[in-house]
Amino acid sequence: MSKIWFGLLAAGVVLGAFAALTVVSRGLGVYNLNDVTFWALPMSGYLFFALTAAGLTLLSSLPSIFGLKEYYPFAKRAALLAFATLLVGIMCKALDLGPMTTLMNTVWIGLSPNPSSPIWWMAVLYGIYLTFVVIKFYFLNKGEWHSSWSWTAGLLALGLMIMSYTALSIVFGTADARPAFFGHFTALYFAVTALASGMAAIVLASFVQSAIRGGMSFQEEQAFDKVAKLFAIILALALFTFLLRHIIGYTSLQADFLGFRHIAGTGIYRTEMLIGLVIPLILMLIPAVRKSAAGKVAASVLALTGMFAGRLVMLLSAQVKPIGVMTENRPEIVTYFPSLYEWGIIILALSLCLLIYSLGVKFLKLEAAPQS
Amino acid sequence: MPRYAMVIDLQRCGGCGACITGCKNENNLPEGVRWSNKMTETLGTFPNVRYYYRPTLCNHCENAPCVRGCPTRALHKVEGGITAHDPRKCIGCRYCMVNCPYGVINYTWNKPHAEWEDDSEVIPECTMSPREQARLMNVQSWPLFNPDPDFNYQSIRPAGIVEKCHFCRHRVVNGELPYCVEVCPCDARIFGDLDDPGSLVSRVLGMFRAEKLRPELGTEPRVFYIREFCPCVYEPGKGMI
Repeated sequence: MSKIWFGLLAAGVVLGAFAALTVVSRGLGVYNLNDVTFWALPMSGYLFFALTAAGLTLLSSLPSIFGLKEYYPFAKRAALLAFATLLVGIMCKALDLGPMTTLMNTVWIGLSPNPSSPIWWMAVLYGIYLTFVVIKFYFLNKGEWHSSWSWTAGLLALGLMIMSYTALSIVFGTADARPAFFGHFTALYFAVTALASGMAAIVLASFVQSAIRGGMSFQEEQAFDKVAKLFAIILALALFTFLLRHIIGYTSLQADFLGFRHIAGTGIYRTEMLIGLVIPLILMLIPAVRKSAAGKVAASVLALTGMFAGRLVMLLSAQVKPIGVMTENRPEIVTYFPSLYEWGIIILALSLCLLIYSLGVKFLKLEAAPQS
Repeated sequence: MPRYAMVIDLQRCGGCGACITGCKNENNLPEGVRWSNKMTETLGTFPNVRYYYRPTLCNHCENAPCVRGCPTRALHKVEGGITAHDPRKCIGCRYCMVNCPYGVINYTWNKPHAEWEDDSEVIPECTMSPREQARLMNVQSWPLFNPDPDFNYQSIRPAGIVEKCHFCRHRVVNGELPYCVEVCPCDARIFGDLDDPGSLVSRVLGMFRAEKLRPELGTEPRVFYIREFCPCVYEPGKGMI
């Protein structure tokens, strides 16, 4: 890998680290957030990376847990990517809490637990999930593909992924005051889009590496042809749930959906629909494009871009219309544009994620698979 | 154990905002944060218009969604059903703001009262700077600082956490009224124990049909509104086209 690539990543990390240190020292006042739109870009970074990690964890479990041995060629790569995306996702959430004084208070998650809180479950389960993702990768990296320890770690990582994903869905599902989070429907939407973004991430990462390396093995090519077909199916399902959400949002008589309908008229919504779902699906439905590396890479890049926009769409839909006393002296719909510091956190997350993956490519032989 | 509630008599409320400023002074609220607030609305179309005013505060819901959702129990129930907040435990996740249907929880985005650390003169070569003024008044944070909430809360909460009305718990446990009740010049606010049939809140709730905000959500608010103020009259009849 070129020095230019690592130089770019280092620049991204330095730039992002400056934003992160500013947030930790000065607090969230540097973000363009307020008491109406208080969960925005950093939170959408968390959702994007954490849900991508969920999709990647499932993909890396296909051969070992579900016995689909043809997917071994990317199991290790998916496991590392799951770790990298999960780590930076949690970092995005941490940088959405407050300054250092607030971050110190997180010890109370352990010291003063509230099991009736979905956020408490989310925090605890994501913490344990991250641990098992690391343990699982440790065994894969040691070459222990079939040991009972490796299998147990893989199974626990998968189980914890499902539990933490469920907790995350319930965080939004039980927010009765904000129907535009779409209640428990969010669980379905998260599931299909997490799978779609996970698949997009593994396809993109694998093909970029193979382009640098100068080709793929026959087994890898076969595995990715199957993944591309699955990707098309998942994108179709994601588009179906997207349209379902659209119909619910437009036919509901509840005034709370006004925010959703406003967001549905903006560019980020169109980005989610067209860039994230429609165009990649069309690309993956054309056999010649689906079989080509360029087609797969293009569809993956577009899908990931659209999925990222989709996380922000979901958050803003339930916030741009002020509720309760927050309506006082405010317009019916408020506007939001992220500050440079918010972008800085996203740049940091993306750079760190790519840096971890690139180091993995360089030193950890991610294409490794069991011999039998 | 009492069950505290507040009744706001809209017939008496003059909309002066003394509750809002009183609350800000009593609880040292930073700029942009209001625990006691208002919702206003202009009804009708000209010339048949009317101004509608409703004071607001935390509803201290019996089934408080903020308490249910708080991951560290920073928001919790204390004596009399007051929804209290522990700033030491708050992790700033703002899930309470997601869950509160009334929009009465604020996050402190910047350092509270930082404007009093400003060294620039308010009017150049005429007035002193806020910092100099604070220094000459020999105050640590801001000139109107009130240490009373330290009794069972924190006088000034740091940036990076949420804060909300606590029914002036530091006063209530000492047998005093919440400050917004105390300073209301119209005596529009009544505070007391719902479980005491002789308390004024119980008596007025037996007299007037009270309104609660967003009752359909099942939060069971403890702030009640009675007697909507309306000076309007119209000619009675069998109905008009």
